[in-house]
Amino acid sequence: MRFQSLFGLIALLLVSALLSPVNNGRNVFLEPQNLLNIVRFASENGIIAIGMTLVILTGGIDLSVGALLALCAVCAAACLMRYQVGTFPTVLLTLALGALAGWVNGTVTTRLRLQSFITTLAMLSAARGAASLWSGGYAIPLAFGMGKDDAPPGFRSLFAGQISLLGLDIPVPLFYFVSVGAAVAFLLKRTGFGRHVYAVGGNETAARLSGVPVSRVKVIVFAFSGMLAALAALLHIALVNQGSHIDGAGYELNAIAAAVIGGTSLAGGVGTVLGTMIGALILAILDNILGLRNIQSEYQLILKGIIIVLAVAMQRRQER
Amino acid sequence: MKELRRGGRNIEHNLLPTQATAATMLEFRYVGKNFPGVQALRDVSFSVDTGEVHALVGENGAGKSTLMKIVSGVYTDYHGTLFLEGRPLTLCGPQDARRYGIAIIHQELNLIPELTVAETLFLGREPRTRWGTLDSRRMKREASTVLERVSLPVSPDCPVKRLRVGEQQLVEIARALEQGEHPLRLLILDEPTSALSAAEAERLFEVIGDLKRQGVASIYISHKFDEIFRLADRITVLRDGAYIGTYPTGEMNESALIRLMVGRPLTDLLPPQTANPGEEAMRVEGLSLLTNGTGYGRGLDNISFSLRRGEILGVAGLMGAGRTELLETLFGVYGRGQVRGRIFIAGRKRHIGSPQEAIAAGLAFVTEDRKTQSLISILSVRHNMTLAALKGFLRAGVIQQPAERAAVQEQVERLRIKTPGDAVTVGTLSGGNQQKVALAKCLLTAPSVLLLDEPTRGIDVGAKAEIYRLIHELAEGGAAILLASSEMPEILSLCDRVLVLSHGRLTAELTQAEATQERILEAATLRRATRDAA
Repeated sequence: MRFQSLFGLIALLLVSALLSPVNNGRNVFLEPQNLLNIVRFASENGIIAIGMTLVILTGGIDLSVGALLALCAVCAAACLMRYQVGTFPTVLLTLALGALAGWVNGTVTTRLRLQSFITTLAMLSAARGAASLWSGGYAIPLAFGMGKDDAPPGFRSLFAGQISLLGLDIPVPLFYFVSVGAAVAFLLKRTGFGRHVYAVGGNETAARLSGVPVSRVKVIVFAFSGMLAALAALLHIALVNQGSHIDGAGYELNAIAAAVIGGTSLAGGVGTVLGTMIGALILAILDNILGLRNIQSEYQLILKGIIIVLAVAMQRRQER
Repeated sequence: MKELRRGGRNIEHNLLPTQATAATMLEFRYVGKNFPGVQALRDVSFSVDTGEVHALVGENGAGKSTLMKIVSGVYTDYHGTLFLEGRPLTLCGPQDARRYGIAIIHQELNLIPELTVAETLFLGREPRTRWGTLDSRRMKREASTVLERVSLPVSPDCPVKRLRVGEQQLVEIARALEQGEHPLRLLILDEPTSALSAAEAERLFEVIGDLKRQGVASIYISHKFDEIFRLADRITVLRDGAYIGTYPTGEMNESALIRLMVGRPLTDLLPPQTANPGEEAMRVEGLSLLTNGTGYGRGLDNISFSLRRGEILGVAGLMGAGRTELLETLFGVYGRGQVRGRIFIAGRKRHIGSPQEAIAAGLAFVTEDRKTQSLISILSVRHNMTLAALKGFLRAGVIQQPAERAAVQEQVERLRIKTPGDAVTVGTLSGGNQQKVALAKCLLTAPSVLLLDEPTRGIDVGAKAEIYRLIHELAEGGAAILLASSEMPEILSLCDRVLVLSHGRLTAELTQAEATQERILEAATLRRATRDAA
C-alpha cells in the first residue's frame, strides 16, 4: 500500500515535470528553489497529518487540529509580542497548550464515551472562539527586531529560517517534518506504545481483553495530535509574520486527505507515517503544479477532490 | 370501524369447529438440508395440527433452527416437501412465509428501538390516506385492537425502546397477528422466555393459549422442560439432524425426554485424565454480577468455588446460564460497581477491576469469539501473539525484536501452528490455527489460571484433538484451568470437576464420577424459586 502511494508520488512528479511551464529554457517545476518551496508547504500540513495519522490509527478522528493551530498561533504571537516572554518560553507554552487541548479531546472522548468526531468538532468550535477572544478579533502581527516591543529574531530563524546544505538553502520546516516523521515512525514500529496504537484501532475489544490500556492510548494520541498542531502553528506564524484566529481553516481536511492518500484506513489499525508523509507531498505538489499552470483555485479544489477519491479507490482495489 | 369488523371475522374464521381439532396444519415429509460437508438435517417427517402447541426439542446443533429456517422461508434449497393445510408449500423467502400466515419469533428480538409500537406493528405496510400520507389515526386504532388481543396494555405511541423485553416480545407476536389479509396460521417461537421474568412468561403463555383456541398452530422451541410439559400437546425430538420421534406430552417424562435428546454414546476424544491437583490456585467467594435492575440481562448470583493447580474445572449450563459472564467477571471485564464478591489467587485476595489487572494477577482468558474478542485479524501473527505479554519484551519502552521473534517461534512450534511466517496477518489462517494463536497469546503471559470459553468452537476435529491435548499438557504442567463449554462430550471427557450454572446461579458441583449428561442437564434446567417470585 505504501508502495502504491510512493508510485503515485513518482508518477505525479513526472507528470508535473512534463506539464511545467518552461522559462528561458528552464523547467520551472524542477527548479531546486521550487522543489524546496513544495517541501516547505508540505511540512506544515505533513506535521499535522502525522498527528492525525496516530489518531486515525486508533480508530478516531481529530477535527480540531485547524482550530488548535489558530489558538496556538494566537498564543505564540501574544507571548512574543504582548507578554514579551522570549522565544524559549513561548515555544514551551504553545506546545503545552496544544497538548493540553488534545488531552481534553482524548479525556472527554474516553470518559464520556463519545465519538471523537463529536468531541473534536466541539473542540474545533471552542478553540476558534477562544482564539478570537484572545486575539481580540484581529491578527497579531509579529515585528522581529531588537527593539523593546519587538519579537526576538531568533524565533524566526528557529521556525522559518534556512540552512545551507550542499549549496542549497534548505528551509527549516523540512527538518521538523522529517524529524517528527522519523520519531513517530520509530514510535509506531518499535515501541510497545506503537503496538498498542495499532491494536486499539484494529480491534478495541480484543485489545482491552489483552490488557492494553485503551483509554490511556487514546488520550496520548490526541494529546500528541494537539501538540503537533501547536508545532505547525509555530512554523506558520514564523512564515507569515502574524498569528490570527482565522489561521488553519480547513487544515483538518488536508491532514485527513494526506493520511488517507498515504494508505491510512479510517477504520483504524492500518497506516504508516511514511505513507502519510508521501500523501502530504502529493498534495503539496498538486497545489504547486496547478498554481504554476495558473489554474483557477476553484478548479484546483475540484481536482483535489477527484484525486483523493481516485487514490483511495486504487488502494482499496489492491487490498482485495 | 370497518377494520375492526374485518379483524373480528378473521377470528371467527379461525374458530371454525372443523379446523379446531382434527386437521393437520403443517406437515414435514422427508425434509433434509445439507451444508458444505455437513448434513444438518435428514429425513425429518412429522406434522403439526391446527390448534396444537408442538414442542421441538434437541441439543445445540440438533437441527432445530435449521428446520425452522426452512419453515420460515430463510432456506429455500432443501430436500423433501412441506405441506400447509394439505397443499404443498414452496416458499421463496421470509416475506413469502408471512403471506402464508407463518410467523417466527426469534430468541433475539428484531425490533427497531426508536419506532413507536404502532409504527412497529405496521412497519413496511403502513396504511395510507387517499393523499398518500400516513394514516396514523387508523394505524393507532388498529394497533390498539391488536394490542388488546395479546393483552398488552401499552399506548400505541410508546417507543419500543421504553418497553421491557417481555413486552417487546408481545409486540413481536402482535406484529405476527396483525398481518391484515393474511391471518396467522402457524407461529414459531424460538426460546421465547429466555429473557422474560416469570410474570412476563405467564402472560406469554396466556397469549399462546388464546391463539391455540383460535386454531393457530404453534411450534415451541425451548430447553425449559417445565414450560414444555405445561404448554405442549406433543413433543418432537431431534438429535444430530435426525428425527427421533414425536410423543404425546402425557406419555412422556423429563428423564425419558433427556435420554432421547442426548441418546448418542459419548465420543471419547480423550481418555479420562488422572487428576493430580496441587494447591489451591484460585478461590471465588460469593461472586455476583449485577445487571441494570431491569430484570433483563444475565447476571451472576452468589457463586463460590475453588480451583486447584493442575485441575480442569468445567463450567456447564444452557445458553444464557452465565458461563461466559462468569469467566468475564473473573477477568475484570465488568466495572467494579457491577461486581460483588471476593477473588483469591494463590491464597491472596486480589482486586480485579480490568483485564489489565487480571493479567497482572496471573489470569489469562481465551474468549468465546476469537474474531471479535481475541484476535486483531488485520495484524500479524507475531503482533497478535505478543500483545498481552508485550511488557516482557520491552527495554526502555523499545521492543527487543530478536527475543520477541524467538518467543513467537517457540509457541508456533509448541502448538504446531501452521503459518507461512510470523508476519502473516492472522485473519488469513484457518480457524483452528487462529485459535492456537489466541491460546499462545495467553500462554506467553505465563498465567497461573487459564480461563477458556468454548475453546474448540467452530474448528475441525483434528485441531480440536490437538487443543484437548494441549489443555491436558497445561494442566499437567501445573496450570489451573476453568473451561466453559456448551459441548457435553468436552465437559465430560476433559474435566476433573464440573460446575453447572442455571440462570446465573451455581446449581450443581459434580466430580468426574458424578457427572453424567443427565445430571448436568437436570441441574442446568433447574429454575430457581426466588426468580419466579419476582
